[in-house]
Amino acid sequence: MAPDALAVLVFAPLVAALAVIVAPPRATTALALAGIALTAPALWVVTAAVLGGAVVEVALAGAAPPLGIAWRADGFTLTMAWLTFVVVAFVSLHALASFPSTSDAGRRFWPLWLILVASVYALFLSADLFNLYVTLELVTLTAVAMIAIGGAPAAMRAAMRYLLLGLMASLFYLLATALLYGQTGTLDLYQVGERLGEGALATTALALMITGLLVKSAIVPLHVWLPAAHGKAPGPVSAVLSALVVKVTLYILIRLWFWAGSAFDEGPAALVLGLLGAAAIVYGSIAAIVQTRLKMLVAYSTVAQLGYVMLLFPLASTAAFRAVTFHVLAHGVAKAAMFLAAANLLAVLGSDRLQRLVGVDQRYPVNVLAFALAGVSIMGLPPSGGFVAKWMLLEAAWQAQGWGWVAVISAGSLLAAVYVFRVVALAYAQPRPATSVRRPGTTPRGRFGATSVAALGLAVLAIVLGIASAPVLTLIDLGLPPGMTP
Amino acid sequence: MIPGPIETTLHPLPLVVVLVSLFAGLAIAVLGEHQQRLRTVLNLAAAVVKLALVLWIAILVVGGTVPEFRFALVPGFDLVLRADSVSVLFASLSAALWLVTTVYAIAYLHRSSNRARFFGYFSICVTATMGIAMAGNLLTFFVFYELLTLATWPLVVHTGTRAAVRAGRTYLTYTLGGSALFLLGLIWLYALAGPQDFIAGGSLALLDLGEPRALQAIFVLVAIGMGVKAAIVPLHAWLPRAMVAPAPVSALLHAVAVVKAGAFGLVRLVEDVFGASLTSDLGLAQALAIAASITIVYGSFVALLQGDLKKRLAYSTVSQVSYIALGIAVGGSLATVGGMVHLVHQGVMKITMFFCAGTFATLLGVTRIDQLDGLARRLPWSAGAFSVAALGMIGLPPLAGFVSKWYLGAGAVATGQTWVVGVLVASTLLNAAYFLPLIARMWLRPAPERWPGGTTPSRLVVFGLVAPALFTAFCTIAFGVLAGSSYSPLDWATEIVRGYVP
Amino acid sequence: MTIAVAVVLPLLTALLATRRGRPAALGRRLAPLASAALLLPLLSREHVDWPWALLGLQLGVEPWVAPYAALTAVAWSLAAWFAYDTVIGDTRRFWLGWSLSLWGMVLVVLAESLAAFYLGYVAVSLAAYLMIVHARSDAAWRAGRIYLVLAFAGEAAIVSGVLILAGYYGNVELALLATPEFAAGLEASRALLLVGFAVKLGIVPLHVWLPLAHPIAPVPASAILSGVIVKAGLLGWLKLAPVQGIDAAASAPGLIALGLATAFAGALLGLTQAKIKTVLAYSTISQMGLVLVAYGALGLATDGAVALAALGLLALHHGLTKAALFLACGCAPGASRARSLLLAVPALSLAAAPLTTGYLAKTWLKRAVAGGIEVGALPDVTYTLVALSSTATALIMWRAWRLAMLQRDQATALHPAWALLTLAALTVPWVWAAQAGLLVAPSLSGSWAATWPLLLAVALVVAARATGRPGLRLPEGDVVVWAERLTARIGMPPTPSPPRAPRTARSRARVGRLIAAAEAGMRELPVVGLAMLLVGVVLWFVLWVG
Repeated sequence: MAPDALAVLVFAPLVAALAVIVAPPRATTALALAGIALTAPALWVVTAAVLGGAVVEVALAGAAPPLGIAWRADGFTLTMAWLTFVVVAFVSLHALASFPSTSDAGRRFWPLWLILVASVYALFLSADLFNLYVTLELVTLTAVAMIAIGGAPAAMRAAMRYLLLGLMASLFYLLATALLYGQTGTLDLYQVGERLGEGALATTALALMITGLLVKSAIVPLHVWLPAAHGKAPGPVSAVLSALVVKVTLYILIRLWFWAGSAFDEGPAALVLGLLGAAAIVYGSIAAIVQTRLKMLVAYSTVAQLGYVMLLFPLASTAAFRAVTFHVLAHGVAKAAMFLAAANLLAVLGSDRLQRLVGVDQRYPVNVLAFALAGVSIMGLPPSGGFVAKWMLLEAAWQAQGWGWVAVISAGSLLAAVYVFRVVALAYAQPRPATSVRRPGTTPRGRFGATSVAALGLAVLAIVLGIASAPVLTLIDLGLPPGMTP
Repeated sequence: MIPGPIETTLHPLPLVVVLVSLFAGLAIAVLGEHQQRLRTVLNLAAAVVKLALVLWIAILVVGGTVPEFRFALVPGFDLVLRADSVSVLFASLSAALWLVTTVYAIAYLHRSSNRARFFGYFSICVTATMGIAMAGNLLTFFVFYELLTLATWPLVVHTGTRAAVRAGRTYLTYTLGGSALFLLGLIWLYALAGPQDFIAGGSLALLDLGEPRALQAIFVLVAIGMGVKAAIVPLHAWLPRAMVAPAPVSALLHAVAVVKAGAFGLVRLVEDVFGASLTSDLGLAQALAIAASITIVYGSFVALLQGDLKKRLAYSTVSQVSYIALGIAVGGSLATVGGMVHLVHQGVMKITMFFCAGTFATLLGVTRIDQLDGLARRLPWSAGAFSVAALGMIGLPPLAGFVSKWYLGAGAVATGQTWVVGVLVASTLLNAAYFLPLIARMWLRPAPERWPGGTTPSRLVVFGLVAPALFTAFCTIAFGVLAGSSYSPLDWATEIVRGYVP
Repeated sequence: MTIAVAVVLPLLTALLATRRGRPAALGRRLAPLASAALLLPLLSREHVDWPWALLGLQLGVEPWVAPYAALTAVAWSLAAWFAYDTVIGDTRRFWLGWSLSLWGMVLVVLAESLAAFYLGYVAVSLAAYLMIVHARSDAAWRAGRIYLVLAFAGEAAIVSGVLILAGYYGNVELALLATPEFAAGLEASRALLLVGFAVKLGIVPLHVWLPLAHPIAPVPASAILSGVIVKAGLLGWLKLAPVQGIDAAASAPGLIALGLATAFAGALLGLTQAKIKTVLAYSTISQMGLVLVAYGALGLATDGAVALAALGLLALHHGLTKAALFLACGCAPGASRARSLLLAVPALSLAAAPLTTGYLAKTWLKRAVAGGIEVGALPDVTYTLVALSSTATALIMWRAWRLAMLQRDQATALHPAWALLTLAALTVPWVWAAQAGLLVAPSLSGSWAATWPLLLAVALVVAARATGRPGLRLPEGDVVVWAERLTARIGMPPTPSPPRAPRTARSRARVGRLIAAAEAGMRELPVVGLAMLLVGVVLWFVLWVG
């Protein structure tokens, strides 16, 4: 039953996407929601199986690796899949209002959206390098299309840049995959490392692969495509890009590094990756602080937060793995909430210039609250998922006696406080009578409209993660890399 | 005798106490701006219920039960809410003062905007304070300590003026910076000694870790975190700036929640984590005593130079709160009692003064000291409450402040640190120098032709402004006059210290 | 019960004093009764222990305290009667101060535990301020300010001493302090307390507030300030820094020297004054010098109990007499012969003329000093100086008399309280003397010893008038004038905080431009390519070497 559920996970959204394309617009909502909702029971079944101690595996088309395509679900996969489900569910709720299926944009949006969801699930399940490449490409292409969905020139430019760099990165990745296959004769994620020998070619393959993944993960200094792409995209798209799409490549990197055997487990390289992460934390945060537009600020915040994930490589301990995985979850939920809230404010204000936010709390308190609550998690203050993640990460760094990492983590959350509170302070400030906020063309939605609920729901979830961390960590513990014990 | 872990009873009450005001806060936020009547009812009901619950806990504790609630925040790290007698001291202070502050705040903000937001965060603020009071270990304390920071910030910037936002920024800069160090200290502590609950006499004292350097560093890191909120010089600069907040917020900051939380944290750190003897063996008690002394004298001195009433009160707080730290740093049963009881005494006295300062500003537009002349003719009750509190601050008998000073001074002499008496006397003189002129102006000078401004609200509102101050002023007198009787704050503090200093 | 009445009644009148109209009038009527209530515990000799109050209050009348209780009861109630009729204007604050200071004084008298005493002492010190500034004139404000500054200076020393005592023994029962085992090791506390209470007594050089504050108050308030409240300081010495139980011989000469200096300085400075009440205030300083002499001599006395009783006699005599003299200032003593007589008798008594209570008190003082000389602790000249202090007193009384005779306004009524108080001054001390066994049979040598200083005074007066030079005039409070100039700058300088430039905003904009430029540069495709290459190469290198 569990292997079938894996198929449902991918194919339900995929089938829904096809159905949405052919069905009349009024059926779109129902079909899309059905496609997404079906993944929940499937996920539940798989989770039950994994909690029972199994690793759910399925060989598609009947052929096992190294020849066929393998799907594999352990605790790590499921953690990511659940994150995907939660974020997608809430963002879909938002999209119901922001991309009504009857509009032009809505007709373009929903198929792409469902394909994106299916590809993300498929990517997390994939157990071989080529399959990963295909799903990754799918994710990238749909993401590019969705950024450009509104057709605004700035969004188009951002999408083009993303596409260009994404393709370059894909090429790196593909080249590396080819090299690895040549060296080892397998594409299985879990076997390639064992078979990989020493040598310049192998090293080259690894360097290429990592570089490609770093570009797609927008790790400083290869982050340049991210702020514009996330900042100019429509609200729900930005949310899912920041919460999920940048994470998938990091997921691949972590899988390669910790599961694919000793070949990747290299001290100096880990240090370099960690340093890149530290640079991301500091640079991204400072860049976020100096932004003058809300969505750009949030986008740079993503650049910074991704840096924490990179600290896993030098720390390389159970504690660090749990911390980073939890951080990915917490950040995903919180950042999606933040982007949705920002998008809602942008929609009602007509501009996301920070100065326009003055006094906005008096009229749109729910969205400001959502932003603030998500901010609490981003800053890593208790009680929130971000705090639990930061706590565990600091603990891991302390145990590893990585004082430098400790300093960076602490500094990162202080810098985050600066940009989060800057926004909230503006929202809480008293508007001067002369500069009353201009009423935009769009009608302000009700206080508890779907868009606000989606933002607030995710934000509350980011807080709840901090209190109910135990079950999540149980799941994470089932997906620890080989060699690590809880 | 080495104190061991205390017997506790699993009981949901501590959690309920914390949650009451959280739900009240959320409900208020959900209700929105216009449900004024319902909001008022909800506010008061929550405050009354909370007070009743705290009294219930107090009765349990008197009966020898220590109710406790715990669950794993992060596996291996428990969130512990436990009501021991120290918790009850702080919790009952906060619960009682919250009730009066709520009454005052409703009256004070009767025409202000954003009241839903204000009272929402106001309630969450008290949630955090209760959590701090009930925290059974340092991690729990930290969680609620941070929640407090977050919940008070919107109150500080409530008016939304440029100055308020700037004050909010200063507040965050200090508190978040401090908490980052606190967190490091906490991680270090847990890395060194593992998770541990508060134990009277010090949980670390039981472990015998050796590593004095590390322990010293941990203490300093955590104490800085506490010291920021407790406004220990040089970490105090946020407090006077936060004066731009509405008067009920100042009252809350100074008497109930923030500053108190810092001081209470120092108490926990010294008495329940390190233990008084270990603290003093590590030389930390001496350092803390010196820091507190400097704060006491410096705060009082700077207060003398202020022309703005609330600023003067703020610097006075800087000075007074360090009495608490001084008491526990000096150590010995007497001084510890003095510090502990000052937790309560400073609360009732300072909250009275802020209530009154707010009333003066609202009704007469009086914000500066030179505008106080003849004020007692217009507002005799408020002026009377203010005067009582000010005399108490100076430490004159038979008011509450005297009792604290007596125990602190006597305790210092008893432990051979007679120099502390000099600090107390200097502070007394400075206190007299900056409070007596205010009293004299109010009562003895002629009133001006017209007052600087202010409004004339309804009688009910005026009552809501004046009555809380009268109540707390009455407490100031009662806690002093009846100090020797059973269940007075002094009696309670003495009981607590019996657990700390056998 | 009696003690409860004595403690609660003043509080009740204080409470009534804060109201207007009929309650206030009732409070004023009750005021004499409230002070007379102190006679009740004096008669009942009750002791109470209230552990619930403050830190535990123990109150009662020990035998040696009786003269102080009597003094407070008699002087205060007669002065209250006087005040009831004469104090005008907005009297609410006056009566509040009056009642509260009475309350404090009652506690000071009755206190048998440390906290009780301190409570009373603080109350009396602070409440007296309200009486001092009653006139609301500039001079009254100035006097009040100087009073408060010195009161708190004294307070600082007292609270230090009290806290040290508390540190050793907690809220100690005061009688225990007079025992050797308790007195040991308290030198610091003792010294601080001596200095602190000396402020209240006006011991030179801590006297400067007294000539300003005592006279500026309304007449009845001056009477109790100078007659009764100064004794709070003495009680402080006797109760908190008792000489029993310690080796006081070492400190006695110093104290006695200071006392004599005060006695003469007070009198001489008083001669330079032009206002009768100021002259009387200086006379108080002078007399308190003698009290200090007696206190110092206590430590040398062979029979401590008698010496203590004699000191009580001195205090009682001075208190009643000085209060009567002050009341005289409100009754135009120069208006008739009878009034002049009513003024002259207590004045002579103060100068220790034979057959007066002053004479009796002086006799015991001389005996105490003589005792000290006998054991070799004091130089012989002390005795002569003590005798000569009567000359100084006589001179200052002469000065007061001369000034009093200028007040001949017939319209001012002779208030019966004045007459009664004068009568009390002449009789009550005898009662105490009889009770404590202090009566001395009149002797010729004794009378001569008391008379020659007075004759010397007369001679000096005659000589001075013969030279006919105008006397030196000093400002009230003498040296305080210079001290005031020095401290004039302490107060409330307005400190407007300079407006702060929004520095953070500017620096943020600067960093913002920097980052924007960097980002723009990094977005260029060649740069991205280069970066990718660079990262790749670095990774390759580290993977290779790893």
